[in-house]
Amino acid sequence: MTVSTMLSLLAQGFVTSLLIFCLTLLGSLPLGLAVMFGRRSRITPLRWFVKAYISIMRGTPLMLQLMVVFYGPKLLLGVTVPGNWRFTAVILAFVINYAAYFAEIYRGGLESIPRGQFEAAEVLGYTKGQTFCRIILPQMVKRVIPSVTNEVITLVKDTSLASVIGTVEMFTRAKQIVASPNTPGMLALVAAGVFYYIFNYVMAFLMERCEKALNYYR
Amino acid sequence: MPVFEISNARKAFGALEVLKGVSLHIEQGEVVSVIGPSGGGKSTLLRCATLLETLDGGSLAYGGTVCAGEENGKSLYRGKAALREARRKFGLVFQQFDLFPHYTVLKNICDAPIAVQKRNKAEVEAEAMALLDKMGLAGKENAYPCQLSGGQQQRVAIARALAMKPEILFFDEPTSALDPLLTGEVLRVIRSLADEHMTMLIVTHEMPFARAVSDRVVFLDGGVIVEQGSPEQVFGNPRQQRTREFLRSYRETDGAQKQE
Repeated sequence: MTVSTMLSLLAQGFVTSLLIFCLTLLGSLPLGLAVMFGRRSRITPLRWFVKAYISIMRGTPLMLQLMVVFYGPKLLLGVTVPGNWRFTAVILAFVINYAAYFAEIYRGGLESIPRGQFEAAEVLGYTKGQTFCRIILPQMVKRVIPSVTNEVITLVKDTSLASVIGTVEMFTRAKQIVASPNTPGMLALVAAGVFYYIFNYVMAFLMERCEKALNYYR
Repeated sequence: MPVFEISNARKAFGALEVLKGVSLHIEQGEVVSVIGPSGGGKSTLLRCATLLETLDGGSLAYGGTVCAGEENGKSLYRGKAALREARRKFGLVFQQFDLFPHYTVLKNICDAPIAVQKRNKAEVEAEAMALLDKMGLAGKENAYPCQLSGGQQQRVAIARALAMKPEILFFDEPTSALDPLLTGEVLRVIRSLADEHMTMLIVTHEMPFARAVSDRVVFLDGGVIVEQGSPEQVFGNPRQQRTREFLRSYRETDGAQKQE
């Protein structure tokens, strides 16, 4: 196997990794907000349910969660899953896992906003919805960006966990190359590492730009 | 009919009774200062008046808009519509300013009139510019709160409250968070509002200011109004022993500070 064949195999895998990454963020960033509201709800059963959900998501390995979501329908219900279930299961598992983390980050951001902001809005007659959207959310976003950056960087690396249920993303490709005879195995591992590193470098750069863009106020 | 009326207000936090039956009404154009020691109930009275806290007992009304009536010794609050109606009638200036840090000065002033009162944007902005001018803040409309001094921020907060065209304006120790050098500019603005007969209730520790600006001074201690009257009477010839003690201890600490 030539180096260029190896790189193109890794690049194909990288496209899948990238897709997992993007779809996970697209799903979990907004879902985290909904989870946060559930976590803070006045309805006690809902609050308990959401607390239990967050606790399980954070307290068990994502690798295990991937297997539960992927094999669960067959093992528990005996249903035959459709052919594209593998990828759907990956996205589902990642989204519900990351939403739990984002919910707690958002909650920390929300609760760090001075009470005076809520009171000023209340006295001025803003509705609860207006207060959240106009006054609280923008300040919350600014406060949570550093923590969200951390999660985003972790997610880039966590996409490799999808290989545990046979998703052919970059890490799976690298493993396959290493396991095959007559391949530049070591080089494949290093190259995969470089791919992850550059991707993370770009993400950290972009997130820093977002942070700076919100630096116009304190 | 008084612009603001609170009767027999009672409020406890757990076992701690903070208001033990306070009655106060303010007429159109009247400037009332509330003085008294910390923990005497001044802030709680203000927070109950502005619906940030709910009364345990007593009634509360703004003009014809009743917020809470008293039934069987307990405050019974009216529905959301009445409270929304009441919120239109008062404004509050906070001790810590509490401007919205992500909005420019202009947007801080204009956002609520536009988003809450649904008023015309151009009209509101023109009024806001006039208010800024009056506050001595012309040219600051595009600044963010973090770029302003405390005194400037508090003047923006006053403009923000005035832009809602309240019938009565409440001040919660408006200069307590400011450097002594910056209190003057805020007090001057409040004094100019008093000269225009803006109806105001001011909780303050600035005794000379309260004396100069008020039509009536209320001394609140231990959750009750101990004494009230004209500034000349309360400051010059207090009838109650507790008022005299408070004013004396105030003069001593203030005098000591000035000598330092």
